[in-house]
Amino acid sequence: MSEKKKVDEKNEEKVAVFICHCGGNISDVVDCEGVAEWAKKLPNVVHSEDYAFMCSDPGQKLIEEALDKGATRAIVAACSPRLHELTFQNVFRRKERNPYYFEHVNIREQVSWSHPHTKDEATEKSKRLVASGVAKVSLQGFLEAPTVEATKKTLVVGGGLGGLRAAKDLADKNVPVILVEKSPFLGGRVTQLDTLYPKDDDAKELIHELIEEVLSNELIAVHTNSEVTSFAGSIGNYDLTIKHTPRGVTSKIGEKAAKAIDICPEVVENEYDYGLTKRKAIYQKYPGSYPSYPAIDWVNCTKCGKCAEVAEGITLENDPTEQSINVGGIVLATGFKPYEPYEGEYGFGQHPNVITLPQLIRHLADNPSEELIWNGKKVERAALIHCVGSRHREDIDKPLEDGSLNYYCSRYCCTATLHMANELKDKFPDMHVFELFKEDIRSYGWGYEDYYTTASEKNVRFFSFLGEELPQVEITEKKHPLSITVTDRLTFNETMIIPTDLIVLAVGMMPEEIPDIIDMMKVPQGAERFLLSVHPKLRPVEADVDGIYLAGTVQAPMTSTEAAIGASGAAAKAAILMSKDIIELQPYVAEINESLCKGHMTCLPACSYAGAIYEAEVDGKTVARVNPALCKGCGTCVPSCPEGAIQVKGWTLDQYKAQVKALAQDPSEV
Amino acid sequence: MSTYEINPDLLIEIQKYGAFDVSKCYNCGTCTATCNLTSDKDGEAFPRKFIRYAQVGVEEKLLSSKEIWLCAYCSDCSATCPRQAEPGEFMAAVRRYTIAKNDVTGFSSLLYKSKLFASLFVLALGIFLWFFIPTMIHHPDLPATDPNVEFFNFFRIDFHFIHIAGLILAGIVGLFTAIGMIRMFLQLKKVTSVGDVSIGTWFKQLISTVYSELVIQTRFNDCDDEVTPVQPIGSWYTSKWIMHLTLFWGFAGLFAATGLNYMFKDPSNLIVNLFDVEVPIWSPIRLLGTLSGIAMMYGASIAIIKRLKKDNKYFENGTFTDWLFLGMLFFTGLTGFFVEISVYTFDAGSDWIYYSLLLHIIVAAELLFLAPFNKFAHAIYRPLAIWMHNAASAESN
Repeated sequence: MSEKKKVDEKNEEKVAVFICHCGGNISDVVDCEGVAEWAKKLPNVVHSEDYAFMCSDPGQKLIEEALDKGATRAIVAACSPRLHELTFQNVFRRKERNPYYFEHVNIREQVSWSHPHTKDEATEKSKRLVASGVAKVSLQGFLEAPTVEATKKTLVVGGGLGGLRAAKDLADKNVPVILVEKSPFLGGRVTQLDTLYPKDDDAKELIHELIEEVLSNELIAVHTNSEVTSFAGSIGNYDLTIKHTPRGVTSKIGEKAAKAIDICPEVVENEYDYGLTKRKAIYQKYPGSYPSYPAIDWVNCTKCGKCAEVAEGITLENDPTEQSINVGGIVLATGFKPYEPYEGEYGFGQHPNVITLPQLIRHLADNPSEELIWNGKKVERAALIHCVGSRHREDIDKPLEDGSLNYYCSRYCCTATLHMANELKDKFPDMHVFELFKEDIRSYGWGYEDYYTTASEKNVRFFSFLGEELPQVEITEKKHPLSITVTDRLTFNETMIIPTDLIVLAVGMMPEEIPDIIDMMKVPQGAERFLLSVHPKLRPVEADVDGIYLAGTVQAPMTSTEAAIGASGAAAKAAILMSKDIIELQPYVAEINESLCKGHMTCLPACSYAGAIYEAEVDGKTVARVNPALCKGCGTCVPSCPEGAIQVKGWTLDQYKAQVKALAQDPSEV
Repeated sequence: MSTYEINPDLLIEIQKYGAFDVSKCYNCGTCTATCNLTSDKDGEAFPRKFIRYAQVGVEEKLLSSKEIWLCAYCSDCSATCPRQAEPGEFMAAVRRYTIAKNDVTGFSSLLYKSKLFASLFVLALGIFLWFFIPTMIHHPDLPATDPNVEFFNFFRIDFHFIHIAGLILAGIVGLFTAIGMIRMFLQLKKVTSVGDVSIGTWFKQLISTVYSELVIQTRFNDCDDEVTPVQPIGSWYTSKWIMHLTLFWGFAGLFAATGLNYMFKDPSNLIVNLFDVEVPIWSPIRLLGTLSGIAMMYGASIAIIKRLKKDNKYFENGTFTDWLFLGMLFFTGLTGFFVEISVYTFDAGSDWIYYSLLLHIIVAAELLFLAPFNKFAHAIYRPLAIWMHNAASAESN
């Protein structure tokens, strides 16, 4: 290594230039041969040629040959670096050269594809870009990727479907897992569902199976009533603090649990069925929940002690304990919450017969019956309204409290609503079921469309409204207490009045609120508050902080199937990280010239990555320093420095100047 | 655009009239695209539009629709429907529903909705007539061997009463038909602007409607799309057009022959005359009856054979009342020929003649009596709807 390093440090500026035809993608527009010929005139260029496919084996061979013949640096003008920069860097690695002496120039997306009709100008632009690439790589200094040692342990945040799935998958790959769940019970939102499409599996059975697998796995440590309270470190080496709040109840309570719950005087809204019923301050999420014994809701408990009098195993002490942990990677599976309609949205909050889909699911699951009774009256007609809290329109839909709108489609609700319409028709064949959908029905998954066709065969009536013409709900004194007025696109835009007994709102998905985690970990959020991945296609489950992965609905609305897929993907990505002893980071990080630094520390507030810049003392002098493991090389610190002491490695200001000069120069004057 | 309150029960009601699969419809519009009548200059978009009105329960749109009467059930829509929702059968069901709705007695609705009621009624009426008619046509010249004849003799009804009874029957049938027509006219008036139509236009359009819808009935040919046949087209002589034309003209001819016979003979001698072999087979009235009978039997036979063979979509969905109507037409013709053959084969006063005539009168009486309440009613409603439609559009042009 040290010998090679020496060679690299003395790297002379001998640049090989390759122009790729991309099989006509480029050469149909750009005169590749001409560019290659012209590039020979550029300073430092020792070799220049064009080739049909540089990414092919013979193409890569050409680079190897050029390196053998004495070239030390190379540029390839071809497709986007996203596609093949790594391919060509690996040629350097194979030849035991420093891969950062390779520069990728994009003349496909940026030239041939964007200027297909102006061939001469496209060729000229290619020449300028090639010249700029040569200028940049000529000034490239020695770069080395920083490395860190990885802790082989992963933290999973969230004990719902996504978290459990990820924990189980990681443990199967022999990765120890710490799973923290904020609430006292495992299973998350899936436990609040009844049957899951597309196969009508029992939601609780499925999630219980997964919980059993997780609990019986020795590599997984499960902590309920727990939260992450501090966060530091970098990929492979994160230090966190976990806060445990006592449950207040142990398994010793046994069969006396029912007595203890019964005697509790504090009655509060039951979040498990979205407020349809009440629960006590000592409670069990549902019969058969995990863990199987109750917990105390410290927010509502007055510590009156009545429960402790009738049952053993109750300690009314809620002082939290803290635990420090060190992990290599983090999987965020904090999940979603259903959109809460505002008062007056389709009559919600104004009439008890306007409810949400999750409420109806819970009601039907908990109250098996021959007929659906709501508010003391038999429901003869039920209308299901799609897209409540999803696919918002500006100036039409009322913004959320923070002023934002949910522009997105929540994906799960069309099929869930059709599923419910079928369930209603199956359970109550005489009931008239209406579905009002916004513009279209998106039952997109395998087997999902069947729910539409069967609902239609069961005489479920569909109505379609435009996002600009939302249905209006009126409360009436007539036989059916609610009346919906809708301009129905399916009935040739006639206005239809739908008298109904029940209105069910298919509410969308919102991300569970995790402001502390977002603040601590600096994981970027999208405009719609879900966490962003680095790239929706190429890196879909990785957060923009290295070593943090996104499992399930933390990153977007999903069905439970999709959440499980996302969680398995996140687990696989985390497992890849865990399989490495040493983690190589990217070398393009900020570098502070300590002889120029005067310790103004203006760079510190400019930095958006926690811990990437820190204050240090050198010989009694305050200086700023960079933690290369945390720095992303974004460069916002560079202009903030009044002394000009900061440069981003591989993107120095000298390189920029040389590039701009090369771009500005008329190619014919070279 | 108007405002309508939905009625989810309407579709369920219409489904009792035959449109059993229409809830599968997802309003794609394939039926509208394949229908040869859709390109009408007034832009009728059917059957899709009316399926939708039925799904959401806008009854007035269905009852006031002229379009359902334009449809001749070529069944191309049913053949091309991607959901097997049978839109053609739906249109037929709406016609049945409209016939029932235009009938104030509710009798029609019972006939359509209950096979049991329909069969029991037809059977009961037949049995009643079987015993009742002999009491009236008891005549010294006729055989009185049937003990029932003696049994009913206590009524002592004069046999001339059969003609009075016939006229009363015709009056009842005519009355219900007239009520139905008025109700339909009022419904159609809601959507067809006929307020300003002049008498001249009414008359002109009556002539042209009668010519096109009754005399030549070429609408059926529109259904056989030669350019892009959706379903195979058979020989011309078994086409729906020929089938319906022979059936219609055969029936009309028989009706005329019966009437003429009644008018030009001495009423008091009717039965004797009818049975009189002396009337030659080539006498104009008898010839008209014979030829018309052949035509009607031909049309009815083709209709029956095609339904049995389920030749195409149109013939797959014959409902019970549909069969009943067809069966009565067929048997009216068949028993008519029994009478004719008996008259020329056996001596006057033969039991053969007597019983074949009795049967013929029973079947014909049932056919006529049920006319305003079953499929027969379309013979009035369809031309009426098209006449109004044509009159309104002729006036607006």
